[in-house]
Amino acid sequence: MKFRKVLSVTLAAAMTAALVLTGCGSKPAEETADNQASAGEDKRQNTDAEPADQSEQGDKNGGLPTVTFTHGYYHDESEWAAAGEMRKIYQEFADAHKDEFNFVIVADESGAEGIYNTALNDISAGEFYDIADFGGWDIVPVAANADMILDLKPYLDEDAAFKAGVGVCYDQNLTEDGKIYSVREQIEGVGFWYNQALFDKAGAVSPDQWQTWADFDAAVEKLTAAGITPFGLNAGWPTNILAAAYSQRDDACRTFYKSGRKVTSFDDPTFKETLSFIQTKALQKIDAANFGPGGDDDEQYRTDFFEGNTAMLFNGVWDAGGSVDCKAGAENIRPAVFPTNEAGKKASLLSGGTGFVVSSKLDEAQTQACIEFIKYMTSEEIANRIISAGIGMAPSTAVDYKTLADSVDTADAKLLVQACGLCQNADYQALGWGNTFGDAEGEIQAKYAGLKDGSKTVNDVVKELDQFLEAAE
Amino acid sequence: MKKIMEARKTGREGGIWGFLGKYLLIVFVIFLSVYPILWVFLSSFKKNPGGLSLPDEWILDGYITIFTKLDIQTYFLNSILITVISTAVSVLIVAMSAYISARIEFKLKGLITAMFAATLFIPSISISFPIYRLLGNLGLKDTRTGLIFIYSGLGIAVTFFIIRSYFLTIPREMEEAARMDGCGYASTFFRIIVPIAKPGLSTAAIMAFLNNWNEFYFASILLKSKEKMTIPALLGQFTTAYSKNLNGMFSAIIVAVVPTILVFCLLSETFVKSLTAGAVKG
Amino acid sequence: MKKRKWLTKRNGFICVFLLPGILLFIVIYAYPLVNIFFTSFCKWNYKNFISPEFLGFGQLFDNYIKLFTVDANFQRALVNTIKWVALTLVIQVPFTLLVALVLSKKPKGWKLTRNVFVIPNIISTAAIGLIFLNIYSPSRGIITELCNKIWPGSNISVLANEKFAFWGVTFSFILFGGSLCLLLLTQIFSIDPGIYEAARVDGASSVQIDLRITLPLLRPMIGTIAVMAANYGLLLYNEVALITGGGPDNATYSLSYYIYKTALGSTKLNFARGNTAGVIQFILGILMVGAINKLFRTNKAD
Repeated sequence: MKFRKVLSVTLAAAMTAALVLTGCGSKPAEETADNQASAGEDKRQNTDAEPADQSEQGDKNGGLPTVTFTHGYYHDESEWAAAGEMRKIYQEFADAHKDEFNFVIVADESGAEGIYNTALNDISAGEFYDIADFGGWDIVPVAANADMILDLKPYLDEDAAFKAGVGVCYDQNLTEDGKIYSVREQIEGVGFWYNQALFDKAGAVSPDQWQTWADFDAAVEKLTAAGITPFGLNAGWPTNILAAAYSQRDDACRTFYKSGRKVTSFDDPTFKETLSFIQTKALQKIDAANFGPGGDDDEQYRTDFFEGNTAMLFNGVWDAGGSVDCKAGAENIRPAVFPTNEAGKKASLLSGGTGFVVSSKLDEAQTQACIEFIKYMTSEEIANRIISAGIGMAPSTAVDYKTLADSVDTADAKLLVQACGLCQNADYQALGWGNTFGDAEGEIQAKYAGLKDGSKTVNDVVKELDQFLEAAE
Repeated sequence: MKKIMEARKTGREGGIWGFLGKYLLIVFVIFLSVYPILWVFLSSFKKNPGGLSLPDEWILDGYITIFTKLDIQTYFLNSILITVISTAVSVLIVAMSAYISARIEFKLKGLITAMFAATLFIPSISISFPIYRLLGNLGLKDTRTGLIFIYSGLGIAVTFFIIRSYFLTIPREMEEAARMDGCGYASTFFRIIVPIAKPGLSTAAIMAFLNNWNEFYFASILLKSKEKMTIPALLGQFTTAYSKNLNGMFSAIIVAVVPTILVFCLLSETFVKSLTAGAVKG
Repeated sequence: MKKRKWLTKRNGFICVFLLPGILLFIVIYAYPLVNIFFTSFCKWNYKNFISPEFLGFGQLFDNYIKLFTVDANFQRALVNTIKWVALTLVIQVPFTLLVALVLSKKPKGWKLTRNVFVIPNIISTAAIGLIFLNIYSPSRGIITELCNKIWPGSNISVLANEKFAFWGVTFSFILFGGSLCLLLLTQIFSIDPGIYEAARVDGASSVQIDLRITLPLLRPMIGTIAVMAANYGLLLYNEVALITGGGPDNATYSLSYYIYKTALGSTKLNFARGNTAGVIQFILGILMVGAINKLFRTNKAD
């Protein structure tokens, strides 16, 4: 009897609470003037429910057009300083243009991946974000095929400064049918880091002196002979970097690599040579303990480098931050870019990937606001800020790295600027392994373990990869 | 009754080997279960998580961030509200169906069981799009009500099977007696069956509660505003684009898990009482 | 006359009690269920994400044929999943049952054990995944160290080895039967103590009581936990995604992981193929539940 009473009370409470919540949900929450974020969410909610509501919303906000921008930099500043700085950059834009349009900024608590997942759900329901930063998650193919997103190419072509600001993104994101759906204010700039002290100790020629990949091999031999592990790898990221970099060694190789997305067979002499390089000159040169288990999630290869146990680290420019107070000694850590087989020519990996994507369903004024925002984000001023604040690398070709290096104070910021400069000025700049091979990336890296212990030959791997391609068709 | 309990406690067990085996098993189970959480707990104070040793230096950064910088109370309130209501709704609805399926013979009975069983095997990826569209149409996107609604429906199969198999063990005579006394179907259910099935219902509720408490995928898709987020969102706070703050992440796990463990241990006392009280006489 | 009225009342009661459950099913599950089956006969990927395209009767089974003929990842996933389902039935269910039977005798510390046993089920699988990743890690973890003590120099890296990785994933979930144990205990304690008393009077030992009385009475509940455990094995996803990522060399793919990888985890968004695998998973599930129900006769009360 008593239990029944408890049950009914609970249920009654549950129903009431549910009702109250429904009320809260459909009614705009505290809409204070300075609470821009929550106002933005209400707006999103309304547009999701009824897309036609937009103009009405615009009227409500003093007749100005409204655009909602969604990004994944939700982290607390203490957790990730870059996130705070990015939000500040966005907010300054909104403030500067508050007389022209309402630029509503929304942080997605589930990050770029959450934005991507939501976008897929949205597309399936026939909707899309006004503008969002996808942070590398490639929404473009599906959204473009669904005719949901705006081609930015005309805007880039009519403004030289804008085009310079997006740098490599222009070529990299150019689709087969000649459109550019996304550009980014930040790119993954990847060369590598080395420990000068360890190279000196082994009597090896340091990477800044290298002419070709033969010098790399020689240095690895010298380091190994001196009992120094040349580099740490795992079944993913750092190994992919090395493979991608080695794929820039000559023309034939670069041609195959460029066609990576559309590759129908991996049975290509240059690709096989790359794999055999990875097998014999990299994976088999290092000790098993550094070859981590959990896929590319294992961070041991970084730890080893910054503790002074390995001589090279294949990771992006952002790892300048790792040099702070490290055991290897910040003064020993230097950035470098990869050699090629053309004496003295250098290669780096610059991957734009998917960043800002704009809906094609916006009206003239809204679209203009979005373009204005992307121009702002890719401007020289913001590019300088992104690099000097240690957030990452900007694609802009307008950045003057010499002046920038003088303007920053800390050692790690200087390292970052230096690394970005090297990457930007390399003779060949290629897209990263993942952006190049798409889904096949995971398949390729799954074979590293077999290559290392010799249970698979390069030909086995190529055969298995081709089988994957056939299955994925 | 008391005598029986004692007999059960001290009863003829299989000698010294039985005794040893029994305690070895208990020690093994405890080790197995405590090791992971202890490991997380210790790691949440270490700069470089790993091992079972005490931290050389106790780091509180993760906890400080969680309690000072993040809106932990809101997350908690939301989680409690959403999980409790959805659990209650789902247990009630499923209990009613399970009762029919366990007790009453009718033509489409097999279909009902099949219906609930079928929900077990639908991949959540396949539900995601339709649900998103549905909540959009209902105007429930980014609302707690929407999430409660979805959570009430997730995992109904497990709830159904637990409750039904409990109902099946209740002797029919009890209802027949009640029916003789002039009780209608509904009141038989609420007055006789529900009190007897309390242990089964609460076990089902506990399972549903745990599932919903940890659910992240739908929460991240359906909730967008910060003030509506649930506890699992905490974990993501420590993963940035370039690195993972394991110390912070483990602190977040502890903060998310400890209250559930406490509540469970406290509840399990009352739970045990309900168990003995609910013993069914044949 | 009277009888008929009673009948309608009965039917009305059935309807009212079933309605909420059926509504919930229709709103949340019915459409996806139909959709999975239908789209497994379609072309549906990033190119036509909004409108799946029927393959036509000539190529009706194309997706199915591809899965079984060329898709090595799917075939591996299928084999692994069947293994996992079998293992839950062979390891998890008996182990949990044993623990429950021991705890039901209320030895010292049984309450603590029972509560503690549930803890791994309370912690989110995300955390469990991270923990096992570290336990198996050759540089930080305990397994490699242990193996080196027993076989010096073996330097086993559980997750880097194709054969061990499967067991690495298996042991990250298979012994965690705390909530299932709770279910069994609930059921054991609801057994009428009078039955035990009678058995004792007849001179039955406690093992005999367990075998002859408790187990038969537990049968429906054992069937239920067998379904739950096997279902966990069938749908295994988080452990795979977090601990091995399907590797090494795709050796630990599970069906759910394959579905995720094919549908959502790829830029090709091949939902048709994913759903085809979903249909196969679904059929496996139905067969599994059918078999378990038959084995334990869960549907009959007696």
